[in-house]
Amino acid sequence: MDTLSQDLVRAVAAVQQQTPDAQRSAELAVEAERLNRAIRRASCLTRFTDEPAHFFCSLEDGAR
Amino acid sequence: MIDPTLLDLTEVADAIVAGHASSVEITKSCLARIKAWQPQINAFIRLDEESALRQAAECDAELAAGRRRGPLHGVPLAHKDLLYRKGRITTGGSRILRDTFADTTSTLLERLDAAGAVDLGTLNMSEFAAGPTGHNVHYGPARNPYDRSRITGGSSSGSGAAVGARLVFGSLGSDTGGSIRLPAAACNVVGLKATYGRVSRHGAVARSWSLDHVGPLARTARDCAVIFAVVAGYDPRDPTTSTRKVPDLPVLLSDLDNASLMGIRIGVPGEPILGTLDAAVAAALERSLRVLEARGATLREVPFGDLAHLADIGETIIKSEAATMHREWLQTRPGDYAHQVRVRIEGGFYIPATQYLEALRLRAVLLDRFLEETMAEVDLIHCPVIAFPVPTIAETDVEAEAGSVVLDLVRRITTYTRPFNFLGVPAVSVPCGFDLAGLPIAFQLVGRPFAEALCLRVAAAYQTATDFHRKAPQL
Repeated sequence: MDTLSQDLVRAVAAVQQQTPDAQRSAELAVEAERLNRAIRRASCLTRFTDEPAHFFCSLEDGAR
Repeated sequence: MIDPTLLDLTEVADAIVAGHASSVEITKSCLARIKAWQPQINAFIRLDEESALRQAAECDAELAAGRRRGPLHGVPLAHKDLLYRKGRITTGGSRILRDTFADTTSTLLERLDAAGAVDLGTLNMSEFAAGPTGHNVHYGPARNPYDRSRITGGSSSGSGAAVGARLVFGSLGSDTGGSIRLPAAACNVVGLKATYGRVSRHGAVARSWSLDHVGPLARTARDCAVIFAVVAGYDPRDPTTSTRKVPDLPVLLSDLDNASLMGIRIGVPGEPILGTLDAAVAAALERSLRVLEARGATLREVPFGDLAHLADIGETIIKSEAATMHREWLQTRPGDYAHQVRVRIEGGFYIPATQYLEALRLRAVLLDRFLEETMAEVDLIHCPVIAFPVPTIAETDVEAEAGSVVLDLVRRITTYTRPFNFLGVPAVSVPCGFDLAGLPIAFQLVGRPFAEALCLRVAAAYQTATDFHRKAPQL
């Protein structure tokens, strides 16, 4: 199990009390894992030095 | 005399300045129309009749004394009920905030006030701006002015309905995954989501601070340009706003007068995306391309990338930030949320911080890639807003459905809108026809960062050649 999946398991356990409906809880965990897969598909594109704030630079640099 | 509510925003603003009509007369006409339409479409959450007439009278008195506040002097508007005005309740479409008075006024309402706009009241919306259809279990759904059994789109449902039904001349909505463009498309009006950071969000109820955009819905691109020029620009109270200069209104409007699109390159997606469209929507979009081409634009196919992938990465951000903001209320007042809203927000509790931060890190990388690959040789992208006919309120009511049904509905409606919130680029929804049932169809123009003026110019050129936006709904 990779780190992200372990994080997910811990997160699911932590929020069980906030979503006591078992079916909904399971659905939301499945959705979170689906979104996680989307990020893992793209994460090879990031470099070690990338930061969220770089987005503002990309917007400014992207203007013509 | 023509019903003044059928004039455009710019036309009515000119009529007031020229003395052809007073702001009080125009405001009374709007109020009369609101009273006739409200029982049918439920566009307003609150109507401030006395206050509106008082503001209008002040505008008339100022004009008589030779003072014009700005380009919206005396023009009645109303906005999505998520913009704070000090001392007034701002519900955010929710039960939780229905008795909460704002202790500040949003920057955008201050700027509209300074430009002379008359504020008629607050407009319906999806609860906490979470919902692309316009359903609201607390205040009832807004209904489409072109067919009251159909959705308005959301979450700026009242903005779409009120502008489409000619109850107001323009409105501010907010857009985190399509919430300006979807109701604009479904209600046959123009809706502009500007570049992320172009328009202040100070004093606006947040849905997801990294993806929220506030912007105008109005009957024409020209009307949107006027509101955009008034509200856009740096705001020290919103540190995410850009310091980049906003074009002056005369320059912006002068650009819009140029109906030639010679030299403008428009990218269109290839077959795989067109294959997902309803036939009537695809035909209307194709016809709109021919109009743009006839105006001088050059069309070329572009690699469109995987839109669903971008939308999913953005969804991690929305869910994480919404869950952060709503954590306390979800623990203490869970029964005050609609099921469909709660399901979407609760999903954020299942997302690890590492996943959220990776989504944020990817934003710059994927924006760079979009600009270098998809937009490398074009100035704008042309694509759908909603890929299928405007559905009914009944068939999109998922309040009693499983969480997976709710999430699937959101994905289907927002396929073409959510990616551009994640990328932060400007996008405008433009009416381009009606299906066989008489429901509006729209296309979307997507630009490079800060290219709002170009988006509006091309939209305006399209509207000078077509009259779909002139078809008012019947009571």
